[in-house]
Parts: sequence; C-alpha cells; structure tokens
Amino acid sequence: MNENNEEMIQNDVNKPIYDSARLTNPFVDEIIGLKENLFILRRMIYTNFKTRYKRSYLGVVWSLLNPLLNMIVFVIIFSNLFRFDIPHYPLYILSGNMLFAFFSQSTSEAMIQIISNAPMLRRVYLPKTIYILSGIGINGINLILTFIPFFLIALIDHLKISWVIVMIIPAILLLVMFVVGVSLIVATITTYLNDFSQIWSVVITLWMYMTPIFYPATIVPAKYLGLYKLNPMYSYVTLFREPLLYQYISPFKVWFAGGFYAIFFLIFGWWFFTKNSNEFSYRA
Amino acid sequence: MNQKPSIQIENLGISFRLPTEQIRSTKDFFILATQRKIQINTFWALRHVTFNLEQGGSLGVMGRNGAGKSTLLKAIARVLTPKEGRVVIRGKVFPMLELGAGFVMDLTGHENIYLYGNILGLSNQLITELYDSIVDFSELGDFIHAPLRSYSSGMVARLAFATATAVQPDILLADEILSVGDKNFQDKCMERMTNYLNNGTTIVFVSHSAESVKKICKQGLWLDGGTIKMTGSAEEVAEAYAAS
Repeated sequence: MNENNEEMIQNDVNKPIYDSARLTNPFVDEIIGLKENLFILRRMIYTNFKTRYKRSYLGVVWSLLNPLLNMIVFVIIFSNLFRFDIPHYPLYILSGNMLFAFFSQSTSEAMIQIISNAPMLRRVYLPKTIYILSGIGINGINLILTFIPFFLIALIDHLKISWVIVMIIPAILLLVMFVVGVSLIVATITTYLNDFSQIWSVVITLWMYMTPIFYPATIVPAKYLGLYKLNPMYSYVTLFREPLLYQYISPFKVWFAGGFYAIFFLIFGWWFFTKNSNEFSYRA
Repeated sequence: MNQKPSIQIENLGISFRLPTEQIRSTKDFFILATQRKIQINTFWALRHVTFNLEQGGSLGVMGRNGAGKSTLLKAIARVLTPKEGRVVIRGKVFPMLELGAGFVMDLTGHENIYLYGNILGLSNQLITELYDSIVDFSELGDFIHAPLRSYSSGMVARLAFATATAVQPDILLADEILSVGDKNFQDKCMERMTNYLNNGTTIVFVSHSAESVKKICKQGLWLDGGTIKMTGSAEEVAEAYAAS
C-alpha cells in the first residue's frame, strides 16, 4: 500500500490531462485516441479469437474446415449442373469465398459490436472504432488461416505459383480498408435502427450473387458488364484471384477502382461513424 | 503540490438530438419519413453546469431520475464530449463498471485480469507487476485458472473489484455503493477505498439517496433538470434534497 502511494506522488506531475477544449474534431480525435489505445485493440482481438473457438471441440480447425466444406458444396453443384470452363475451379471458388466471407462476416459482426458492448461503452472511454476494428481483426486472422487449406489444395491441383503472387498483399490491404469503411457505416446505422441487421443479411446474399465467386464474370451479358464491374467486391476478388491463380497482374483500371472504393469508403465511414459516435452511449 | 483542481467543469452543456417520435426500426423510419413526420428536437441533458473539485475532494451528486447525474459522470469519464463549455480532468479516471461489464465469461480469471486491466488503461507490464496482489485480494486461489462461467457471482464481483482498485485511482467515479461479497470482503473493500480517499483520490459519487452521500462525501451537488440547483457541503445539500 505504501509503495503504491509513493508511486502516485511521483507520478503527480505527469498525470494525464483530458481537456475537452483540446479536442479538435471527432474525425481526428478518434485517430489520436486509437493510436494511444492500440494495446487495448490487440488485447481485444486476442481475447475474441480465444473465446470464439473455446467451446467447440474442433476449435480453430473450424476456420480451416468451413471454407473447404463450402468449396466442396459449390464444386459438386456447379461442376455437374452448369459446367463453367474455369481452370482450377475448386481454387477459383475457394479464393473468391475466402475474400467474400471476410467481407460478409466482418460487416455482420461489426453491426452488433456497439450494442453488445453497451455496458462498457456507457462507462469507459475507449475510442469506439476499437469495438469495430477488433471484430474485423479476428476475421482478418481467419482470412490468413484459410491460406492453409488453400495452399494444400493448390499443391494437389498443381497450381503454378510465381512471384506475381505478392500482388495479393496490396489487394488484401485495399479490401481491408473497404471493409473497415463499410463496417463503420453499417454499425452506425444499426445503432439507430435495430433491425437493419435483418436487411443487411439480405443485401449480403444479393451482393454475393452479384460477385464472381462461383461463376466467371464472362457469363454476364455484355450490356450489363459495365454496371456489373462497378461492384467493389468485383474489383477485390479480381485483384486477388488473377495473381494468385493465373500469375497475372490485373489491369490498372481495376486497381484504380479498388483503390478508389477503399479510400472513399474508409474516409466516408470514418467520418459518418465519428460524427455520430458521441451519441452511441445513449442509444446502445 | 498540484494546485489546479482535479475536475474543472466550465459552463458544461451536453445535448443530444431526439426525434419527436420513437424510431427504433427501419420500418418506423420509412413510415415516418414518407409522412414527413421526423422532427428532431435538441434535448439538453445538462446545461450551464460549472464547478471545480480539488484533488482529494469528494463530491456527492444528487438528483431525481433524468436530472443529468449519469450524464455528468459520462462527461467526466469522456464517454460523452461537451457540446458547450469545457471539461478538464487532471489525472486518470477510473469508472466503477457495472460489476462484470467488460469480463468475458469463457475466459479464465487470469485472462480476464489482463483484459479488464487493459480496458481500464493499465499496461500489460503494470498488470504483471500487480498480478499477485490482485489474485490475493480477490481470494480466488486456484480458481483464477478456471473460466469465469464457473464462478459464483460473488467471485466475479471480487475479481472485478480487486482488478479495478489494484492501483490507487486519481479520480474515482462511483454509481452505487459497493456491496460486494460477504461481510468480510465488504470490510476489506471499504478499508481500501477509505485508504485511497485519505491518500488523495478524488471521488464523484452519484446517488438518489441523501443518506449515503452524507456518509461518503464532503461536498454536495444537487442537479435538477440538467442544471445545478444547489451546491455546498454534503450535509447542507443532502438535507435540502431530502426535504424537497
């Protein structure tokens, strides 16, 4: 007890000071706050990851098994029913599914983060983006884990891999920016309109069919193709798949579109979220 | 000695926008939007609130439901940022969480100490230093390596209190009197709190009850409808509030 007190007196001069007059605007304050509290974000990702699999027998194996089982379902259905002429078709599905699952799971989890963390949100100051980012972080780890089954199948399927594969890294980074942006938007809406998550699950299903995950983009009628390619997920799936499966770097206009959506959604989402986040502790 | 007050509130105003009709679902939103019935009113939960609290002071905040008591706590904890005026807080603020908030039931006590400690702003290194004293104080023994869902509610509360008060807080925000565990443990908690208060911790205590404010605090503040109705010594304010 005494040791403690001495420590406190020494620290007196360096006490943290919170002065509301020094806050500039929510957009910037949130970035500063997040930088100061990165250790909490790390802790939350770590604990989320641990709890997710704690109560299931197969544990973390599920995140490897799940995309594989999904792939098998699609392969069985589509190689018999429709017969698309796609080289490495199982890997084509798996790679598309990996990315889309990251998008759909991250956004669906983000929307409930604010409501499910309400007791904490009402009492402790934490930059509120932490709650959203911790959900995305764990799905990011999942995405990385699914590379294990991917490369296993790639080995069996004799997939040729060249140095071009490094281009999947910027592709994933752009997708992460896009996912963070969309997550912040849907999380804000859900905090005000509770049933938005129901609508979002329909939107996600529709979105999945609008994205070339198990079919080639070439089956889309030419007159709709321009419109079809406006889908941000089209860009990310293409940017990811072409270097990974076909040793090919996507044309500049696809990169440009992917970069544009990433930056636009990240900035807009951050602005929209931080503009409203001060009121979350009333709503949640 | 630091002469500046721990808590400095200047003309604080906090407002939020309230739709005139309750909108909770997308359906409501579209129905009202098409009828053009959405009107947003600005509601001031707190306005023109000014006070200082010196380091080591203890302030009891009284008022009826909706008077702005918890809004004031939220403003001090930085959960809400002011729309008007200014809040200056010198020192680390420790909110007493609703017991168990921030804990994850599937994790062990050990893991929860780190999670909860981090949330309260303690670094991993500091938690490691304090770890043994936290476990000792919580009296959990070997249970510390069992998942929290196997704990009794008293054990969870003990762990929460032990972690939250492991370091002396500069400023403590309390919403209700601590009634944690059995008589023995309650005495231990009270002893620790009194010790902290005697050693310079500033406390803001919110309550409906004039009695408990008189017991804990030296100064009193009475909020009514978001503004200050009365300030003074805890005795005076508590009596006036009780008489109203």
